[in-house]
Amino acid sequence: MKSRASLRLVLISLVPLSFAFALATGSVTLDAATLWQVLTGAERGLPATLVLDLRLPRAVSAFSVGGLLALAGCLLQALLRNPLADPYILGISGGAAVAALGALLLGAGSGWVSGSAFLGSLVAMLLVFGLSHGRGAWTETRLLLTGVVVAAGCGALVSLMLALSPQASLSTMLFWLLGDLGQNNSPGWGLAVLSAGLLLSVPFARTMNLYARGEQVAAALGENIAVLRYGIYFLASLLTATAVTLAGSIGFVGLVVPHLLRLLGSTDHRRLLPDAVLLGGSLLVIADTLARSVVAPAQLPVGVLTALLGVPVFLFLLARAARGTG
Amino acid sequence: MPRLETRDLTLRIGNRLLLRDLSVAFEAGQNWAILGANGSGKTTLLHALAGLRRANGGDVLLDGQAMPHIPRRVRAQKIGILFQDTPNAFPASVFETVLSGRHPHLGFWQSETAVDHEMAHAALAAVGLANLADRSVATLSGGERRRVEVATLLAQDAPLCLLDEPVNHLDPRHQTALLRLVCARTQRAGHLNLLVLHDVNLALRFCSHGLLLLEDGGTRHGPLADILDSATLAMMYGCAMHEVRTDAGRLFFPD
Repeated sequence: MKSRASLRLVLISLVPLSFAFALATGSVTLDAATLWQVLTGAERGLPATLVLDLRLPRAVSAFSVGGLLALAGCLLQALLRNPLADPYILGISGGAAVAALGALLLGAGSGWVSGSAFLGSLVAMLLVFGLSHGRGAWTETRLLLTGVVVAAGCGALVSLMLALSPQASLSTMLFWLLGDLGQNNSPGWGLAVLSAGLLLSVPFARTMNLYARGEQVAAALGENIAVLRYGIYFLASLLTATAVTLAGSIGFVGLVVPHLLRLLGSTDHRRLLPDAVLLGGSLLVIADTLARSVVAPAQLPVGVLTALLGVPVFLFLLARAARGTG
Repeated sequence: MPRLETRDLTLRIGNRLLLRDLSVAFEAGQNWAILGANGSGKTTLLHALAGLRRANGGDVLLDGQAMPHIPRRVRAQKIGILFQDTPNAFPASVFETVLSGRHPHLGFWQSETAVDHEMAHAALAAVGLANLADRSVATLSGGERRRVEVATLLAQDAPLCLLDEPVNHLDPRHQTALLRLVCARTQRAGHLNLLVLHDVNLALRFCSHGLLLLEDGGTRHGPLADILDSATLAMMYGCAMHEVRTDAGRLFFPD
């Protein structure tokens, strides 16, 4: 009990720390005193413009995208009862990528690209849902296989478009595919969807605990599993679609954050869901800050950084748990 | 009024008839053994009795009310079921698992109270696993995991308990300890157990009544001592069965 309370405390303090790091780091590095002056409104010069107009919106959208992905990962792992599930496993990012790259090929502006990405992910969601539903029973295996196959189909289309596209637009496309938080003008959206998703899912977290032990167990303990399943599926899909629309497909966060927290003892979904939002959000804020500052003025794809940061931590915890000391 | 009752219950899987027109009343205070060969429909029957499976014909009545009309949560407060096998996709602690048995007693916005925690601890102590409360279920042995599932059922505290092969994975000491624990519950008012068992001798020792699933959807049911003999068992299991009388009662063993 005590260690779980301190885990929550660490996660909560990670949020302001990651934001401070993001706001202070960049082409002009700010010290703590200047940053404080900006945040309290005492400083209104160039540092204020840097922090409030550029770095803060970007950090906010990084936090919301990270939170969205981690939350969607938790939900989909519970829904599919599969530890390998991540937000992209059911083809949602694939649909978004096909539509976004299509828009880029046609030379559309960033607003159009985002809009078509969202539309593409919705189409993929409904396609997978309709195909896996069929007339018979809706099993996790069938849903999983349908999703994976649709994702593979989308992957092929993406490769085709990359092969056919002119040299000039290749790097934009690759950046979109790897995830990029750079061209985000409305961070409020992500935060709103994230809050709504968390508020909607946490009341069902106790039921998700049962569902993770099999749908029979959930049914025997008085739950309507069909309704729960549809609810989780559509909520997780919408969260993923929002994340992909805001930042492309940033890998790793949605798969590994839930497992990281489970290894740290956050196994009850009532704790896991909020914990995942906190950790996923902070992790992406840190990763994005590094992505834009390590090789400045060039930028690295943030997905590369999330993986480089997360893989060693995850492997370390996994090894520790395997030795039985976790 | 019987607590649980079937009227002309028919169950099918695909084209295979498992149970034909079964009408039987399960009364409070009784321990029923459900016996039958592999694939004879014991588990399917148990799920139908628990309200988890629609009947292909006839009705299952809980306290006189047809199963489909009973709200899920009310049903879960009255009927608890121990499944043959419970998968665990993600790590969970023993205590968390047992505490989940309290689910049907909690409102949508409620969390477990100190009373729920107490009941979960008591259930763990009853199956002799109080010292493993903080362990991860994944690190337990098969027998220990089985006892965790039983503790979850005890924590649910439903007056009707349906148990599918409860002594799977258990050594002889724990088999008898567990059946003694579960069957003693029927001394409380309104309590009733139905146990799917493969061990005829354990059934004879702990159960008052029996329901035998025979070929082609036929059944035999009644006080267990009256319906069990080597000829019926031989027909049911499809192998010769011998009977010996001992000081401890009758024993059956296969040829």
